[in-house]
Amino acid sequence: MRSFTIFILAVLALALSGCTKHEAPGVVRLRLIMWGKQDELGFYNESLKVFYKDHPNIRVDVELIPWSRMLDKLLICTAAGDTPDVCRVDSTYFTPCAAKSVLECLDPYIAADPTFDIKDFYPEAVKGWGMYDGKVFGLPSDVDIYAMYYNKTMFDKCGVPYPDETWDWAKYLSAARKLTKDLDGDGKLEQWGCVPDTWWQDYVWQNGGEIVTKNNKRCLLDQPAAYEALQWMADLRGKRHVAPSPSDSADIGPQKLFTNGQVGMLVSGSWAAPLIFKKEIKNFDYDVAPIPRGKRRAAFMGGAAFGMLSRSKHKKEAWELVKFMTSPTFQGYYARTQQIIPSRRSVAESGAYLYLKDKPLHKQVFIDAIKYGFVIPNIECSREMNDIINNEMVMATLGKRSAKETCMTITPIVNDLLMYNRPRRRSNAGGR
Amino acid sequence: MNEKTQDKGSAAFRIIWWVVYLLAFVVAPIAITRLYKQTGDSSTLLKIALPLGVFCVFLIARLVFQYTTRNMTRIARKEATEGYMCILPWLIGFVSFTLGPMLFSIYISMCDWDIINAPRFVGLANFQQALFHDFRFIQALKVTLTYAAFALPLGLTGALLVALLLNQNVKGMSIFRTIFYIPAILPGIATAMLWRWIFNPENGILNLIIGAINPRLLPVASVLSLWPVAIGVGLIVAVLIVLKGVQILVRRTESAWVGVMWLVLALPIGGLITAGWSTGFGLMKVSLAGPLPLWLGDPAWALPAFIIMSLWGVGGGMIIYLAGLQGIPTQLYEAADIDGANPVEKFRKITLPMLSPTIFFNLVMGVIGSFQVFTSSFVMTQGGPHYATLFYLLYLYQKAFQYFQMGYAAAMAWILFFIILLCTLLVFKSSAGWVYYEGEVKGRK
Repeated sequence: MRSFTIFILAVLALALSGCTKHEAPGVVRLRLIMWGKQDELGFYNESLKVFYKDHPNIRVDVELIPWSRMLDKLLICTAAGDTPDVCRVDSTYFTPCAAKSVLECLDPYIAADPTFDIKDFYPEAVKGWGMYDGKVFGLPSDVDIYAMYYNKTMFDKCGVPYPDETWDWAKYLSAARKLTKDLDGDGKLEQWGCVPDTWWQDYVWQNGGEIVTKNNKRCLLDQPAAYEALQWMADLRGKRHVAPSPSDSADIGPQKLFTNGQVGMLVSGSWAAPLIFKKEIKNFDYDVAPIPRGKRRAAFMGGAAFGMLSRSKHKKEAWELVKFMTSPTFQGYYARTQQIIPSRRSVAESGAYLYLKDKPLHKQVFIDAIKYGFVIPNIECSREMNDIINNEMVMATLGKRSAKETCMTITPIVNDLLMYNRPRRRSNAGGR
Repeated sequence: MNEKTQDKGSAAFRIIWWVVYLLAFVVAPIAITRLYKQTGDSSTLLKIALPLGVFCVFLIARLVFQYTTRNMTRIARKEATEGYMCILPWLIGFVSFTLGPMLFSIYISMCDWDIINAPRFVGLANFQQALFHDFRFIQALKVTLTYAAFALPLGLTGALLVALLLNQNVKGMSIFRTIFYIPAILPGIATAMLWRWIFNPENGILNLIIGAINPRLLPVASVLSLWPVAIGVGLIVAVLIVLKGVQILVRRTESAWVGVMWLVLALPIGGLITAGWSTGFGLMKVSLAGPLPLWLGDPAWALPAFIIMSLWGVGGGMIIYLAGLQGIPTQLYEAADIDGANPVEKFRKITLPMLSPTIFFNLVMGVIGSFQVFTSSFVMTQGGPHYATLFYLLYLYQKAFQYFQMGYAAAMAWILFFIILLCTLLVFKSSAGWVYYEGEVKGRK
């Protein structure tokens, strides 16, 4: 027993002594967390060398994690108190991060820094995924916007004129009808005109509908503008058969159907061209056109922003890094190599992006779409809301229920959710 | 206390221990609190308080040990020490990693907590919300219970059948055993990806097989489901029953009442068989003629797909059954052979009772396991389509780590704890009636 006691005391002594970090004096190490694959690490480290030239006292450790784990990581890091200093946040979870004070408010830094001008950024982007409650919490770094890709080769073969900005839903449908074909004559369709993307919001917005009210208090999917649009979308596959049926598209996904050359038109994000199409499209030529308009023009818009974590210990240096990651230098580099739409007007409308040789050639379409881009509502519980809506929406896309019935089921549930989440937000604000 | 165990040094040692207790439980906490109030530095505080906490736990354990063994002889005390030493690895892990979070989660389950901001006490509101106001909670419970109701008996009998097969004396048996066991040790994610391919409605192997068989089965099913066929089958059964009754009445092998009962029952039984036959084959005909199932894409087929997939894991139960089968003494079977028992009797009267402790173990593990399905639904469906595969643990995970309602998730965890506890208790209580242990004196109740 005695030797055991001594052993325990020795262990305790070791634990108490703790461990200290050894750091070169004067150098601040920042942790920068982003999503991406490990092979992108080289790209970031290379582009950061420009940053080191101006800031010799800062070194940056880049951490890359999968996109889907980003929000969990940020929140849990903050809860544990061991956070990175700078992070990239996606527009889909920017609001929870800002509302839960994971992100630092950037207004004081912007005000104190004469070299920084926020007016160069697209105001739609800053408002969409940089501001919460009237304050800036993140600087947009890039824009993702939806447009319609089309298979030029297939259009030529079927004798359909290319889509342009005059197209509306009627023209879209008639073109889709002409493109839908049974190629080998076995009674089953092999080629379809279009495929509804998983982002159904486009259709609602184009039809003049909204998902929730401006004050985020009530769900508006029970309005005719919303459910009629969704019914139209569901009918593309169900009633009109110009889109692949659920069993034809299961596990393949809309992008893959397009790159296989099975679908003529695909509404998808600007990210699809560099990330997927560049590698996978080999047998045909493609370009991009504005999404056909409904009652009004609308395109799903999102993007990413760089923010500073509120528990960072080196906020002065972190601000410099945030500034660099959204600077014209880095955005230009990013646009040239990765074909990402810059969030600064000066970069986006320069040769750095607009006149790149890579497909699709009509990049102006994306830039124009920013004006009528819609960002998903800034709600703290947006993830739970989307899960609920998507789960119910399956019934409409499978044709088991009408879109109206589906929307009538969704609305009270989402209203409940918005109610349940409201007092909680107020109490948090009071507690801080 | 046994006086022989006390040597001269122990009195001095006891005084030292009392000083240590005083320091650890009274002086150190007061000093730390003072220090924190003065400096306000929580990180250094944690560096001191954490090891102190561990040390206090050790001291409490020592006190408990001394108190519980105070009346023991030296040998008994030594045995007790050895016992505690044997469970020590588990005990250390439990106390340092599980006990704290468990107690904390009780508190959290009564709070509104989003991980970042301070928890706000809300009483039993989380439990109330879950049990009475959350349709997804009810759905999650329904999905889990339905899955358990099908997957558990299927898995138990499936594993037993495979184990019986693999208990035969055939050449290369170890290879077969390995093949059947491999799926059980594959990681859950790999299995889920694999089954996603199998369930693919267009190119998956399952639908390819069904698609190939369907056209051949369809004419058979449509003929069998015709009314004349169903009525014919019912009539034949009824006539056989009547004959049996007449035979009893004529030959007087049993009492006349039994014979009359057979006669009376002939018509209802025949009718039931007719109805069952026609509905069964009718349903089969309809499903064969319809489109192939979308499996994971269709709310009606997603959960059945998961139940089919659960059969993939029978290897784990099988290996335990095999061990149980190998443990049955062969002389029992030899004795039965001499008495002229047939294989079915041997299985029912020897194998099953002798195997009952193994079945019991597999049942308990199966109950717990089927309530805790997570990986497969997380990877394959994320709870969709239309909540068809929203397993309890998946919903709990979503609430905790995707919607950041930790309090709610903790409340759900405790509800699940009590459900599993209840089920396990029921199984344990019932075990007295059907589980036999070797060397047990009492017979069947």
